[in-house]
Amino acid sequence: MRAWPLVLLFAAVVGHSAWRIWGPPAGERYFVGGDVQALTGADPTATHLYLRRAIYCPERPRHAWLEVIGRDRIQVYVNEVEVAKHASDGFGVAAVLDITPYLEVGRNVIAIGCQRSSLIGLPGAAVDGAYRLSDGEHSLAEGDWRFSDHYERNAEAWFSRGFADGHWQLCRRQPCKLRAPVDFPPDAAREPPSGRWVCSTSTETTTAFAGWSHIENRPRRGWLRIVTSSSYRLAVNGVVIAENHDRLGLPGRAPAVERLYDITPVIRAGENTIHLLASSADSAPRVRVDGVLEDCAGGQSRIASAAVWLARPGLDAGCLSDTSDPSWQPVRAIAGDAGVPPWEPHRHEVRISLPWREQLRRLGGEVALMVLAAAAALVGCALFQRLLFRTGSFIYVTLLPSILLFAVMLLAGYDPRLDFNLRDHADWFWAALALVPVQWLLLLAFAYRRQETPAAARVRWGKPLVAVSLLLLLLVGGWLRIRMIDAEPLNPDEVTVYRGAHGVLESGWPSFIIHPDMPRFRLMTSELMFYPVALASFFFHDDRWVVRFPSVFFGILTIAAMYWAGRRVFHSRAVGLTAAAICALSPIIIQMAGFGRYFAELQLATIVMIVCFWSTLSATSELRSGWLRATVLAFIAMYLSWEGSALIALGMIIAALLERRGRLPTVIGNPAVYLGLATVAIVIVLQMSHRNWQQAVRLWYGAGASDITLTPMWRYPNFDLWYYVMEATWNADLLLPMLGLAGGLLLALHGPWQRPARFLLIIFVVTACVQALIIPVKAERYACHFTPLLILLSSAALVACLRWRTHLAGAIGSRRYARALATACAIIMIAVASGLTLQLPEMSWAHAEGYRLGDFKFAHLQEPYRYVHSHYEPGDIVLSTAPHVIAHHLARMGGSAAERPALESDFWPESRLHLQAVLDDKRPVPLHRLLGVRMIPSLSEMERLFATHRRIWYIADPHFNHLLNDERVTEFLRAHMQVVFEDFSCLVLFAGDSHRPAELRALDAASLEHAPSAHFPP
Amino acid sequence: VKETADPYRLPGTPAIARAVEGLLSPRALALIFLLACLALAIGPWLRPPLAVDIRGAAIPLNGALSPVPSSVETPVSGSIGGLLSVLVALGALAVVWEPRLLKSVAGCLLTVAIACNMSLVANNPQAFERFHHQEAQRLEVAELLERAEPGALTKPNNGRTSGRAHSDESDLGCLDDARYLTRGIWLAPLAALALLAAVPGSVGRRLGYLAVYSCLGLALGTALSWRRVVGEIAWLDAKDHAARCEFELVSQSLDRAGQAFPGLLDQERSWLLVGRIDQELNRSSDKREYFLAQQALHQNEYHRAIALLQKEADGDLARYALSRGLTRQGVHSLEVHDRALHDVPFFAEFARLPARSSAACALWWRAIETDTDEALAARLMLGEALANIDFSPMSTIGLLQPIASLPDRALRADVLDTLGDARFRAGRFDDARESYEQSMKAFMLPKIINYRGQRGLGGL
Repeated sequence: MRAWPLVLLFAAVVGHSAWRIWGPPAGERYFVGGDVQALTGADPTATHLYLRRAIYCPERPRHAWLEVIGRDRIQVYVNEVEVAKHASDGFGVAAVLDITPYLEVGRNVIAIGCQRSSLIGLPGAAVDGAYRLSDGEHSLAEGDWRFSDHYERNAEAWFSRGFADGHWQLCRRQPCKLRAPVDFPPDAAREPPSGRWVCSTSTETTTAFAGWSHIENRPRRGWLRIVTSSSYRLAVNGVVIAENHDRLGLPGRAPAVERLYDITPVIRAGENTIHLLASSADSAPRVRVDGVLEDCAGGQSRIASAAVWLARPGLDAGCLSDTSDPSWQPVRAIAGDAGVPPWEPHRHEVRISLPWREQLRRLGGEVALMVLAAAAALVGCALFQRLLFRTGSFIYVTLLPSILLFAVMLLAGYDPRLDFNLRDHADWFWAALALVPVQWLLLLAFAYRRQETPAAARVRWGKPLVAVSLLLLLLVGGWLRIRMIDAEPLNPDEVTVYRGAHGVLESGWPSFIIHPDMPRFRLMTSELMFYPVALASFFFHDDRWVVRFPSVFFGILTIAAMYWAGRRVFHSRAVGLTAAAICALSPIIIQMAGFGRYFAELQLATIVMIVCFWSTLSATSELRSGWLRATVLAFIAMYLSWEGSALIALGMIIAALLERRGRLPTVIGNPAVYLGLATVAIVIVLQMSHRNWQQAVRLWYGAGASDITLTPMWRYPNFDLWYYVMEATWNADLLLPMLGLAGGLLLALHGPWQRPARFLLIIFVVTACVQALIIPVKAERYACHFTPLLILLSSAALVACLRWRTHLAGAIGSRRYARALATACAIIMIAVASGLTLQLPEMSWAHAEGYRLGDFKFAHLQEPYRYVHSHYEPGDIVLSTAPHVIAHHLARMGGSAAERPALESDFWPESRLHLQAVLDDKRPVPLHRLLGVRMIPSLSEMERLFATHRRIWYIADPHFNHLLNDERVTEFLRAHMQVVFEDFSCLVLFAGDSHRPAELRALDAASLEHAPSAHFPP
Repeated sequence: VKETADPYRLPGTPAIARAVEGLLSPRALALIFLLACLALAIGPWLRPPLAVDIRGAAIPLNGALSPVPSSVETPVSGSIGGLLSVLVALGALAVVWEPRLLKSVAGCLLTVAIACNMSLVANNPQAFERFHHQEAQRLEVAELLERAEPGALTKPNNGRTSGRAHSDESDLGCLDDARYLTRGIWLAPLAALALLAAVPGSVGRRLGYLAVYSCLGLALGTALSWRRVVGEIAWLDAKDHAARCEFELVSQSLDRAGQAFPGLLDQERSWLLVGRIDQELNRSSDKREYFLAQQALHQNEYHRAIALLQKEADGDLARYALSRGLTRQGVHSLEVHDRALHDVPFFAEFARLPARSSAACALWWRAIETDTDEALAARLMLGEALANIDFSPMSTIGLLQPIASLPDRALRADVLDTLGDARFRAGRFDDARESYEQSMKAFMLPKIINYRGQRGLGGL
């Protein structure tokens, strides 16, 4: 048992936590919301909601603020100007804005767009706010808020002032809990300006101003708002925190600007001094300052420039630090707005940076606390060690629970769902710290009562407990996977899987017909995936269950396989159980299992293959031929699930050579090895031949995403060697998975698990790097089959950390205590690392691209299809970015063919060749590669289509439209069609036969200048 | 599953097995590691955004490059690549004699690699400033191309250097310069890995060795960079004093910074700091003029900025700033007058504004003449403009041909596509085809498609 890592960790977390609580206040997180009244629409399942409210101002408001809290994504417009746009899928988002500059005399419109991008999202927003006129304050939250569930544009866009919203319904108000973080103190926007304009009594162009404010207790937070047209330096308590010299030296009157500073890091208990040194080009500088300081007891103190402030002319060293010089004179307060009405200045939020010496001083203080914590831990542990054990260093284990609790508290500060600030919870600090002496006393008690139950009399609970735990994990993991199976409609790739699986039933091979004039298309990638889907079609009617159930089933099997892998590779039930737990709870694995493609199947095949391979190699003398055969079969299954997975072979070869070093004749001279290699090679050659044949059977038009060949990617700017290492994570927050990988590396250096850890590590790192080096496409899904390897390595590292359990039990004579301590630590670590409990999107430097639990994964094209279906008229034309999905939904509709309208995709707009098209055997006309729908290759073709057809529908995924069509075509569609329906990541556009005169079209064009951000976003 | 009791051995395999065992012996593995180190040592160490990589053999032992570094530069006395090659050769002899010496060899390489990289970053402020300028130019080009050419491949985030692209390069820290380090920096983790593997005993002992050699490297690196460290501290002091209006102390601190590391005072940030103080104290100086010009540039007052910079157009900094100002003024003069030019494609409406477009072209010409090395944005804009307005493809070819072999793949592909268009218009179809082919070779990936090249080459 090594003491120093535990002492170092303890010192780091305790010292840092203590500094956060009692040191100078650091950068704060601010939260708004709680129990609020949310504005919602009529349909609780809608993914989009557009809110509008018009207010009439007989005069220009002197102050107005708006607070919008929503979930997932919000966008706020005031009088057509986009003032806020926030997105955080799966979390609350908020904007607290000072909207004074945007309101005008007359009619004003506030418009809010909300988009749901997760299962737990809310189609709505809580709105609060007010505007101040000469007759008092008026609420923005009350009044007639109206809504629509899709983007509307008639003569003007929905957020425009001139938009007629008479047909919009009134919003409902629904009580709910909504909380979200904001970057700057929300009170700064809510508070009306309280300072007066002040200037020096002299006419010098450079003037220093000084003001004071007093707080009684430890500081909590503070903000300052400065309005001036001069350049200036700002110092709080003698620390210069901001310099603004934007127009220094330039002639002419500069516009006034309002800057908001979060001065929390520099305020202190007692008196706080604010110095402002302002310079103007040609006149005496004038400023208006206000702000609030708050202490930990809730006391507030205001800062406001007033006649009691002091000023002195000139530019010298004393003007930013003291006010004792007699040249400081009271300022002259200016009546009124001093020519700068409150709506005129532009608003800026400015982050302050401390001088480097101040930062160094603070770092020194924090390090000193850490040293103090380390010394206390060492002294205390040494004392009790002497009392308890005499030898060894098991007493240091008592630091571990505190370390974990402190780590959890620190990490909670990065979770946007938790309004948790350690500064407010000093009692939590003491409680976590008290765990250490409490354990010392417990151990002391155990030492006096060393009466352990004799081994023979003990009931062995190990195996049944593991079995029950595993069963529980399978149930929980299964429930987490199954409950989301039908949360989203099929995406285009899943539709292809569904069609291919039907081909299995028709012809024995995954295939379908693209066009009557083309040969039957036999799928040439992930061939194995289609057979379980075909089997599932016997048991389920719902297309989502047919496509996704096999994936979920393989996902559940993977949980069991992880346990088996832990037992087989590391000979440890604990490793197996930990790996199974992480796999069962991993948000990324759960989401990938809910995707009706090859991912879950590939993960299962890979982990089975790796375990079989290890079992083949780990024999002390000769290779185990049975396991070798199993490895070959598993490799073939893996390869036929996704061909790219064959790149794992290089890592396997290196790992095998190193593992069998000194016994290589047993590998190289074994004919079974060559037989296995030949079998794999034959399958690969057959598969690739089939692929080439299928490529050659059809006439391709252009190159595209399906045209992948191995490429030296290190010569390209988007090369990232560690991309797949990081994307193999089981949790979108990378910190803990990467710590697990580092733990795996240490295991591979020395110790009883050196061999299996080295084996897994080599396969994992080599394959991930090789993929990054030669595969010309980057997507997180190509790393999904490495995830089980990373989980295994991390689980082994975690269990190795807790290996002291057995020794501790022997040393103190209490097996139960040691076991309870180890189990509690393991549960905390698994719970935090799984990604289900703490989520750390605010830790922006440690992020992977994977999904979080509940995130929507792809465009919901089913409802748009239904909408078009219900409004379709004979003769209508339908365009689509995914015509095969439309065809699928048509085929899935009930009723006979005669009853259904002849609604099919007629055209596929693709004016730049992002995806390859195909040609049939008769015409030189490019067609969609999966359905044979005719492609519209250019703007002129599109114009011709619009000229010759009366009613045109376009069912589009805006992201795909952006990839498939150039800006001119998108602009044309935007100008000639209107959005009539929206669902997540997709919309229905319609061009009807109602003619709009030229005047209206001109208005259209003007309103579209603001529209692109929300309509067909890039 | 039972183990195979007596497997059949294939004839001839024992010899192969012995050979492979030999390759996996500690000596052979150590030599493989040293070969990898050698490749990294003589390979590229620095990656300028718009110029070819600078290899280890072209970097002097003290790490100090010339202000305009070049890949073909030969140092007078040895190089980092040379030193490390010698170390690798000695290490190879040592591990062949006794494989257990690998831990010392790897430790030495780790120490030297850390020290060399630190020294390289610390001792070249002017070279790195030049890289910042190149990066800023690329950012400008990417923003312009995004509007000028639908489907352009050059994006702000796909340059040769990772990390953020700066539009305002005046306040960059020394640590930020580490992003220009390329393959050479990998020597350190490679040596660290070898050290961890080679040290016998527990994990703690291995980590201890790693910590000792790393600290040695840091200490050596600090010693090699000491002048810069002292200079940088003095410079930061000067900045703090300036913030507190202690102007006497600013001069003293700057003097100290200049004595410790003279190159610091030639940097743009020093010019701006001194210029600002001169402006505040109303002292006339060339640095004050430069500061005022930069202020004007930031406020889009191009005429004033250009007038101020023309007085000081002798220095590199002023020439660069003047060229940049002229380029921006060219773009700006079109933007403010016609909203249509905000849209993609930028040049679609260009031809119908003959007076303004010829004024913009004249400004870009002046930008190219002012700073012949770096006026990439002006060259590209002028090339695009000439190709679009008066259909003078030969002028476009003349302008763009010199930058058709840039190491930046995305930018090269875009330049080649424009060249291809110009050659096509000039009736030189074979040359156009060759340009498109080269463009496709430069950049074409399955999901990042070179649409212009594809369309030009295949008509698709």
